[in-house]
Amino acid sequence: MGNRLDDLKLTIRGGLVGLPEEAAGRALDYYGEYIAEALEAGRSEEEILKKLGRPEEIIALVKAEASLDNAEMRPGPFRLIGAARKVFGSIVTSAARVSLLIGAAVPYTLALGLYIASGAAVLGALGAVALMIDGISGMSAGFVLEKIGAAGVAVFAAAVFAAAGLGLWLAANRITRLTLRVLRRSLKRDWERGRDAGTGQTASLGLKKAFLICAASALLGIVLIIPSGLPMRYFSIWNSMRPGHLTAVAGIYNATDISEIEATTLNSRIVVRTGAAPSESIRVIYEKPDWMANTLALHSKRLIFCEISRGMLPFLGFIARHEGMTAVMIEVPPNYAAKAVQIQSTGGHISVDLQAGSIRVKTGDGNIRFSSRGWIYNIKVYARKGSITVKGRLFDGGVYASGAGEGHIAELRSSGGKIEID
Amino acid sequence: MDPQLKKGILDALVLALIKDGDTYGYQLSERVAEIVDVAETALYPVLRRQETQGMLETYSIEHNGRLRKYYRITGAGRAKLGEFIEELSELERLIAVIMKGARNDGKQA
Repeated sequence: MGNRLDDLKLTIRGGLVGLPEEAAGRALDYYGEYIAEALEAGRSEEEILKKLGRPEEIIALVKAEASLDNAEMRPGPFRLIGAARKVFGSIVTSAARVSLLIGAAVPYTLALGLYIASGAAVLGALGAVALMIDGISGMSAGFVLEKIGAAGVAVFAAAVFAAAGLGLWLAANRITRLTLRVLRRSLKRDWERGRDAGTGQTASLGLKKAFLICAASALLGIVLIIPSGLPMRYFSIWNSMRPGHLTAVAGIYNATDISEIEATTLNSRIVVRTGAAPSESIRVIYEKPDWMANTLALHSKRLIFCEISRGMLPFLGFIARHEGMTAVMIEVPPNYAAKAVQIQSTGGHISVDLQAGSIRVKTGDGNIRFSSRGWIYNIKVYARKGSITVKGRLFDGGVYASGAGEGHIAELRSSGGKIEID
Repeated sequence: MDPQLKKGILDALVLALIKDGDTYGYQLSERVAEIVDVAETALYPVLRRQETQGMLETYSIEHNGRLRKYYRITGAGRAKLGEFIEELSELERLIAVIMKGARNDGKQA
């Protein structure tokens, strides 16, 4: 056998290194057999070399075919990119390259986009789990049922995200096959578009299993969530509903012992009103949902009420901006005037109807209603989103100020709600 | 000839030639070369694809101390060839119409 033919075989062998054994071996066998047969038939070295063409072309073609097959059998973003690059590399004329770019650009980009979206959904699944683990670690000791429920939320969310990711992956695979078809058609020596029926079936079986696992996980998540009571609690907070189970907390103080009032809530309403309490006493009534705790104390003439989380609900901070239907009521006797009042809530409505030397009110999404009871205040009002109404008149711009007061100060702020002043 | 058309016809041709009798790579290549002018590199992918898709099956026979790989058509291959023939007869009909038109033009000129 001629040296140049040996060289050709060596070049092809070297060029196919890295290809799967099956694809490389088959091609080498074919060309080896061809050369042996041609020599046997009395062909000259020159003739054979001319008939076979350039080895680079043979190598590029075998590689492109193998990577198309590989991508078709087990579609994925990297195999798709590899196949596209190999096919592009094996095409010689620039006209064929341009037509390939035009034909394959849209499905290729779409497939890669879907793969990225699928990856993002899987990241979402991981994120949901991480967020929930963080939430659970922030919960107080005890509340085992609630912690299991929170884990259930994580499992459920992860399963839904994973199923979405899987669906996107499946769609991406379909588009990949379409892209491969376009790529194959561009390979100048080929036209066939079918694929092995067997491999497609095993792939879809695996996917079916994966979807089943997702569905089972989602179901497991639901099973874990339901007994924990978390959904109902979130639902009632989210929809500003009155919780089914409330504990009444009450405290009665001598009005003469108190000159300052301070109240803070997460999402319960705060109502301060004059006249309803028995004479000479100040009364605090709080309707406590089971996920909340509170402090109520008197510190040197300062009455302090504070609503806090029991650490039972993960992410209560996020949803506390929804105003609650529970309330804390602070009732003062008819002729009472406080020195200072400070009221604050993350999400609750606030209604203040009493006389005080200084009044400071602040809420997130809740509304504020303030009744001056005839006193004139140096008043400043800030409403970032909602409207400001003063004695029935609407003020634009989110700010209202009046400096006609007799030394009494009032400052009212709401970032999401409206503010009304009588 | 249009390369797209040529590719399809090469596939049909390979199936048709192998249907006439089992053959090995070089022999097939020679027969194809007698009929149509294609590069040898064109044949290998066609054979490979038809084999992986079950249109062809292979067996080896020893010859001069090495193995000769023979190709044989399968049921699926015959079915595919049937499809090709159907498509080609449709093409034949169209070609006949086109040719008739061309001949008429020639007469007018």
